[in-house]
Amino acid sequence: MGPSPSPPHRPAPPHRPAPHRRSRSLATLAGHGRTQCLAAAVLALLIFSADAFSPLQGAVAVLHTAVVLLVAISHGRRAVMLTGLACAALTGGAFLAGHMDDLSEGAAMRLAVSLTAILITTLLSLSNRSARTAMAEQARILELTHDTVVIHDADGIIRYWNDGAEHLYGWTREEALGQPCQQLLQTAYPADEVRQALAQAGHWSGELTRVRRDGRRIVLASRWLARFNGQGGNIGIIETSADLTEQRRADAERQRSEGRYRAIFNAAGFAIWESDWTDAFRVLERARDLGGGDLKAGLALHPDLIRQAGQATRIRAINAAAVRLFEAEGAEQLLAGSIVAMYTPSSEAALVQVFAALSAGERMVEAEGQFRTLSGGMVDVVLRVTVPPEDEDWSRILVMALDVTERNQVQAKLAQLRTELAHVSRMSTLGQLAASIAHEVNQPLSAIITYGKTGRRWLARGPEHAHEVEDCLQHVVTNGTRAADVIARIRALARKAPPKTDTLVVEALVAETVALVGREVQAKAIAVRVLCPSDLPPVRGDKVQVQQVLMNLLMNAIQATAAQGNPLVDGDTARDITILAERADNLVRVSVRDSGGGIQDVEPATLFEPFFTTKADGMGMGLSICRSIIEAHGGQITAANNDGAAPGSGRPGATFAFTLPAAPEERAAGDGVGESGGMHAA
Amino acid sequence: MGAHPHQPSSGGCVSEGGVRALSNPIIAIVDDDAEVRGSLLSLMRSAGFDARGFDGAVAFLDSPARGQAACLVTDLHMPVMDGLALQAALRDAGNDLPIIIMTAFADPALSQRALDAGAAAFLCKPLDPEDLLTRVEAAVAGRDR
Repeated sequence: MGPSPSPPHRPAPPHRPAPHRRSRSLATLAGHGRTQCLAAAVLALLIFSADAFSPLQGAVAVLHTAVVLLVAISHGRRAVMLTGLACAALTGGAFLAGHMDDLSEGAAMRLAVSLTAILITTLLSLSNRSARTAMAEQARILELTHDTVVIHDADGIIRYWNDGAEHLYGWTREEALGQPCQQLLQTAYPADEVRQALAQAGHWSGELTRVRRDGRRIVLASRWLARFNGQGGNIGIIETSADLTEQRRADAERQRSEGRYRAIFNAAGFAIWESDWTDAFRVLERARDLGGGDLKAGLALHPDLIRQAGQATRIRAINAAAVRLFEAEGAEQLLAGSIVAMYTPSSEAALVQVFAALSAGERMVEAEGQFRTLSGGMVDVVLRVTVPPEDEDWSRILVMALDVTERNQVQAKLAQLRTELAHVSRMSTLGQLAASIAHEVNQPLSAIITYGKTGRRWLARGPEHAHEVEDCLQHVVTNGTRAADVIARIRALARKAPPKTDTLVVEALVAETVALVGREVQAKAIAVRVLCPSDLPPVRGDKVQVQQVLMNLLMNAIQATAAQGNPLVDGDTARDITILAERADNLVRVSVRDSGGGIQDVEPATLFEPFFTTKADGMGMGLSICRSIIEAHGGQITAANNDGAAPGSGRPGATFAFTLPAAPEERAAGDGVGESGGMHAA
Repeated sequence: MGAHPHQPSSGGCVSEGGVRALSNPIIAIVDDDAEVRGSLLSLMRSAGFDARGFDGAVAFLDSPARGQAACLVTDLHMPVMDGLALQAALRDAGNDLPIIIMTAFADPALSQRALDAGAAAFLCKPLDPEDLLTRVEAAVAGRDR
């Protein structure tokens, strides 16, 4: 395989060293031009005189070609053509003047030869002229280019040095010309390789370093072209170079920056991974369309899209902490997969929150969720999802995960202890209350029974004791009244604190209550969905009491749902609770729908009677108190088994619902609330 | 039973015992609740006892009935001095008067404490009057023996 015959890209170099001389002294040339013009005119007149008036027998007019050439040195096309025409005219004139009377064949022949010579000279000059113009333009380009253009001869002596070279290397043209190029610039380059390439292919391109006049070393991308004379002998080199120093520095900086980023990424004590969410983005766009422009509504209607979006994320890079956190054997086990899809049902809402925030254009969002690890464990993490700058298509989403499992376990333990303590203290308060009530009621009861029996005894002893009997009966009545008074006092005590009437925003109340049971929900891996139209009117009531009712219903729903098997087996997503708030005329209805075992063997209404309980350790007061609270607020509380099967499972579950009057200042029955039956069925 | 039939009584008791033999046995009722106390007094009288009522332990201890009574029926929960303290005070003074304690709070621990300290009976309110009478009569009979 031989060297390629010609370089693929070849700048048009001048074929002789003339351009630099020319281009250097355009002003001088202009001065020369005028002198030459004068000289040409004088010369033409002399030739004309000699031709016309001298007795010389020869083609004197041929000498006019010298005039044309003289003009052609420094003048344009038009001047050359005019000169040619003028010379031809002078020749013709001289012929007429000298040979008018003597039209010999020889004279005519000489005229023809002269005219032909002038014509040829003019044409050649014109063609030469245009070639030179092209070359001058090329020379101008060489001057103007920012790259350096240097020409040196076979001995390496600089013969041409453009503005780019002046600017980059620091030596002026005057200083550089005549200097040995590689010594001047202290060029470090693979000399043998270059020599060989020039000899074989006629050109070389590569990198070299040189030292500028100010002593700074620079890296250049250089292209060298061998110059040959007509016989194929090497007469030097044309080289053009571009400064790579800045680019190199930027490259190195970029590399260092990338290295630093990688080091931080890999060495971070917390889990980080970079993920491609472009497909998830598309899924969410679909969900938004299905929700009529509202992503959250779309996802509420099609919860399967949440999982789909989660699964559509692909891990590009992941650090060691993340591999440990998700209990993978190595990074490759997680690459191209999705961690986000490993969320547990209880974290669904958190994921929706992340999707919604990012879709709304936020660059960073934080959410707490629970995820399954590859080895089947569970981790609680705080996720921070960041969209890097200029990553509009979500192709390089950065996810950081802080492991809060231990913290949550401690918190859960604390919460449990607190609950137990509260329960114990409630029970002991209740026990004290019961004892105190028992004492207060037992005293009159004891007196009544004793007086009753004693009365009978007096009666048996004979009529003379009638006044004793009367006394006993009197006291029976007194003590009966006294017992009734005790009961009345207790009821009055309970009524002493009138319910406060605040204006309650149902959505906020529900969200707050759901947050309170968050830990319970997470521990039992239950998904809680909240469907609350944004235009729901507020209600009036005692916030603490209403929240107590909702909390009670929610806790019951959680317990009922959790009693149904293990959620972690085959990713059962049907362990969910739906809280639905909707408007019903001038009431707001809040329902809690569980996927538990439903209400068994009893009339649902029985559940609200005092002391009814299905729990071994229950008091049976919860729902009874709930009913009292709701009825005191002017609402109603109901319970019913759900129709048919819950989505995704065979369990119907039960729905507990209560109503509260809408706040009076709210406009009367409006049609602002959408048809929520559909949501309920979903 | 905390009573010791063969042990000679204190001097005060002996002289008071002479009076007692001539009349109906005296039953002391100590309860801060007037209605309960009234009902028990009536009950005791209907059974032929000489019933004396006191609205507190101190009132009883300060009265001559302290040495005359054949049986003491007292409430457990009372202000100032409760039934158990009254029982202890009498025992500390060497008085072996049979004591029946009543309470509106059923508390097994307290009941056991009272019985251990020698109470003749521990009864919960509301009382069964017939049951109380039987026990009072038994206590009085045991003391007379």
